[in-house]
Amino acid sequence: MALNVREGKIFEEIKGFVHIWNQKRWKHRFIVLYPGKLEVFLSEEKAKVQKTVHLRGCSIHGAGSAESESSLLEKSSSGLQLWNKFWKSSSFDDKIHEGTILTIEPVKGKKIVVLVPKEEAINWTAAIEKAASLEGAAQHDAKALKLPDGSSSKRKTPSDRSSLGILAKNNLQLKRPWNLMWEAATAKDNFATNLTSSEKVEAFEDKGYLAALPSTQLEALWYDLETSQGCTDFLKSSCLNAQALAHASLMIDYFKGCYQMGDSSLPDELRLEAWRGTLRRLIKTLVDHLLESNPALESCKIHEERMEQLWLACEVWVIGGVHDKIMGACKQMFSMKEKELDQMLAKLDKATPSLFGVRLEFQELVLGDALQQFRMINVFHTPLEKALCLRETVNLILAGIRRVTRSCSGALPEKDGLLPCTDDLLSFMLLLMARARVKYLQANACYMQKFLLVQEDCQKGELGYHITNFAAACEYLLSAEMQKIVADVVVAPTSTSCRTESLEANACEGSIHAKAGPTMFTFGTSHSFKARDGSHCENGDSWQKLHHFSTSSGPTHCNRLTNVPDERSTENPCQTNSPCSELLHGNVHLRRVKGQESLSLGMDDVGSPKWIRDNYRVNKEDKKMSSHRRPVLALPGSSPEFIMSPAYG
Amino acid sequence: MMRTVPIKVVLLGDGRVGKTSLVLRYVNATFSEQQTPTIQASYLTKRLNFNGAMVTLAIWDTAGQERFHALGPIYYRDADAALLVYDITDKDSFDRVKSWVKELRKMAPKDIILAIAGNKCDMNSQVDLKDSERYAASIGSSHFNTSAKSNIGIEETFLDIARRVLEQKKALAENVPASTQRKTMVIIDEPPPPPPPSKCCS
Repeated sequence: MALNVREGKIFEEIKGFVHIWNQKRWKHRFIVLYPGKLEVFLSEEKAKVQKTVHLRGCSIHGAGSAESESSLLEKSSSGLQLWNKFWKSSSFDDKIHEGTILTIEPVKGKKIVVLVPKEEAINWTAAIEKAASLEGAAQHDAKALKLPDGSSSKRKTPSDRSSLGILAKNNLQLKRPWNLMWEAATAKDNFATNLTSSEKVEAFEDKGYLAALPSTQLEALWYDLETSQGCTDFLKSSCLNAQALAHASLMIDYFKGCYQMGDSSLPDELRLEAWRGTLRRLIKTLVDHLLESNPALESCKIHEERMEQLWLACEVWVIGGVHDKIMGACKQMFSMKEKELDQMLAKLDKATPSLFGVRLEFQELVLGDALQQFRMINVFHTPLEKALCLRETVNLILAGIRRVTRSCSGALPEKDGLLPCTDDLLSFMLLLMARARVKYLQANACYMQKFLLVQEDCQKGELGYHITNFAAACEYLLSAEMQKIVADVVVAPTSTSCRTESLEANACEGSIHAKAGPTMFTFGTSHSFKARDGSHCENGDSWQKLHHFSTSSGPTHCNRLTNVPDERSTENPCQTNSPCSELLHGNVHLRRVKGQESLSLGMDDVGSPKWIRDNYRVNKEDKKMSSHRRPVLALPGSSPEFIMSPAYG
Repeated sequence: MMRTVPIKVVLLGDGRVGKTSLVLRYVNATFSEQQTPTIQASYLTKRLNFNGAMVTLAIWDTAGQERFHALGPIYYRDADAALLVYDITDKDSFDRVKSWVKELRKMAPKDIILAIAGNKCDMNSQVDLKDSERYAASIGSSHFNTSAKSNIGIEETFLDIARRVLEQKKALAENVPASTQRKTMVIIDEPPPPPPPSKCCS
């Protein structure tokens, strides 16, 4: 991380990985400093902005070491809690223990707590201060350069152009296209663009872009849309969304009740494409409806990233709602392969890492946390959450590999040779599958590949890579190559303890860890919307108080909440759900021993249980609705009737 | 609105031809020394501004071990471009490129852009470079001599890939009407009902 200011004009993009406190735990995030603002991303890819902090006039505290910081934190209970959680967090490597906590308090908005490596703390502090000061300079310049007639397309003198260059560069965070051009102007190797900065400014003046620059900052992107809870909260945050959500929840219910998953004699690809297409149309209908009914979402029409976020939120919400049916059908589709895979994994239970191609240098690596994380994959319901779980698993493996690499005393090229490549990740994925014994691997792979970001083919990003690796590992385990390897290996008979471990692993699919619990519960309550008292609703807050979202489908939702794999719905995903359910918020611990299931409820985290009664009933007398009760054939390219039907009520 | 174009590039080639070094050199070259170090070489991204178009190159490493060879199609499915890397000091690795090309022709998307990189060009070549260039031209691919060690030809290679993919996308967008871009399949699984028997009215 280095600050690079050339002649005080250009602020080089400062970026790097840090840990950010999100009120519950530390999250590993990629942050980028721009003039006047700090943006938080999930990964280096910078696909989605998680949070934007405006730095103008901000104050930065705490540049002491983590040790001294801990003593300060211990003085307050919240600080102590924060600190304890920090140490308990499993995703840290050893080096971060020497980190420094920086607290950035912006003039407006919440403060942000960042943990950076100790040796980088001073650089980060300086960079943040510089970024904050450049914002001020940019605005000052903007005022100074404003022409009396308000027009900015007038020709400037060379010196003006130079200043304007700074203005343009520093103002570029206002609007995305400008931001991109700013990056182009500051890139070290601007090989693809031959224009000088002043020429560019001139060119933009000619096109009238400067006049189009907004005088106020564009609103930050929404964040916390990576979980189903976050997406549900986002969609619930405005009462204006109620009608669209109510309509969508009806469509979801009809999808679950009436939509035929196609004859199994049809090619799998075709059936999957049909489901995907239907869901895409369902999501599109919801998005269109939301845009139409909620003027606050108007910004999506001009802000591409926000539109993507809206799509994502709708997609997560809708696909979460039909998870049981889709996943059930996927399980059915791959039932034979799953059986083969389970048999293969049983044989590989005690296989050595080298059998999977794990490098000798990495064999000492203990999977530990990665194994636990990987076992969570069936706990999550949306493809996005599953894919994020997969990414987190890989990150934990990478953290382990980094520890191994650090302990090596070789030269840089040798260490480069230790950087994990796809062969390594694939080998580790195989090892992970053999050790974790998670069920429904093929179905999960298919579910993630086909239903992650259904609105477009977005399997080119990082999540797509991890899913591909996962799918490749499944494929390899069923390959003739693997059969041959297994045949050559003498597999030790499975011991009693091993069987117990396997049972535990299977049960893990059904057990909800504290980490994933809340996400699931709230998720279960999110579908099928029914407003009890919409007439008094005026804003988002009151909406949450006055409205009640309830579910319509009994066993499916109930099973989702308790996370028991529903064999009935797996075998017959088309069956209509029974009408009533009661949903429970809290931690549920499930253990399955020899086919028996016991359910225990832990309320430690959530206080008293909150019961939500199901109020939604399909009115059988309603002709409009009953007209949709007939089974809908799933064919690609055609919309089932319920998708395009108008809003009910 | 300016949209960042994602371009998926898969790296193919035998083990030890220098795929990882090549991509690490490319991605790390523009990072400052104090930048967060790259922690893996399997999936890397690079943002480019190409004549005003923002491009994100998503570079996917593929498993190079022979045992994983059959998994190739899973990785290059949906790829926009494939960079086939061989070691100029190893003729077999060039022959392997030819077999990759045959496989790609069968299994990969039809419009995939191909580029061939003869790596380790700072060393004595065992492959006739003119032959390899002729071969590249014959399959509609570009050919570059690269060296990860000396940082030769790498940037040009990826720039060429980005340029060709962008040109292809642009041409596709111009030539294909929007209505036909949507993939639709219509299946009629039941024959239409037979016409009612004709009644003689006379």
